[in-house]
Amino acid sequence: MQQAGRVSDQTAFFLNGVVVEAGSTKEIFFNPREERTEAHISGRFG
Amino acid sequence: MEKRIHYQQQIRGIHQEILRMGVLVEESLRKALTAVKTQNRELASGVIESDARIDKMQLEIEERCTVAIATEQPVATDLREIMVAIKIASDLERIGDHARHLARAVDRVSPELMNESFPIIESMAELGISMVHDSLDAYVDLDAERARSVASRDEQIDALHHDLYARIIGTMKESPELVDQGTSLVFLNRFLERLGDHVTNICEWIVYARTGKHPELNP
Repeated sequence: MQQAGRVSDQTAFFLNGVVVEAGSTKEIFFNPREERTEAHISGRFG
Repeated sequence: MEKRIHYQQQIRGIHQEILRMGVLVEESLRKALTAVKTQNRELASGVIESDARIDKMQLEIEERCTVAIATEQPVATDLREIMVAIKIASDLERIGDHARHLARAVDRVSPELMNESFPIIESMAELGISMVHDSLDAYVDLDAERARSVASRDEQIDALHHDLYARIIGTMKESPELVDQGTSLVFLNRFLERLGDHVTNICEWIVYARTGKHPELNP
């Protein structure tokens, strides 16, 4: 997960083949809009 | 959904420490105000000594936050909560310093001169104490709306600061022999005004933790 944050400018979170959220890496890792994105990047699921 | 139980415990522990530190700071302010009101030197000394404990708590909170960042690599809300804990601990430490400044006025300003200014000083300190208390309540649930409402009260402290400043300058013009003590009062007035600014900072950090956006609550 941290590696993805280090090397990318843009990030998308896929869940079961569906894009839940996509945007700049800064936004996705620091202030994601979707609760499922937040739960995933914070290690609460997946 | 609930994973990373150890990290959640770490965050909760840091949260509790911030609240404990806040209670200590609030107590110090209350004691300092009482010391000035009753000219109680012993109580004032106690406030000055207890500031070291507040400073130590800040360092302990910073240490816990640093360990949490290093070991858990938090992101998003988890990361903001850690950052905000560090910032709030720093503002609480500064408010603790202002309690110490207030306590020192017992030795630096004569009771006669203090009596003239005390009603405004008391109003400023009471407002500050209630703002500290309510900002900590807002911190418990990271309640952004409540934090905004608490910060809006800083305007009242600012208005009292202007009144007291004009009054002290007037006194010093009339009685130049009081310039030394008057200057101590000017500083104290400034410190109490800064107290409101530090609570405003705390409120801004609460909004930031909740929303990820940093507001300017009292521009």
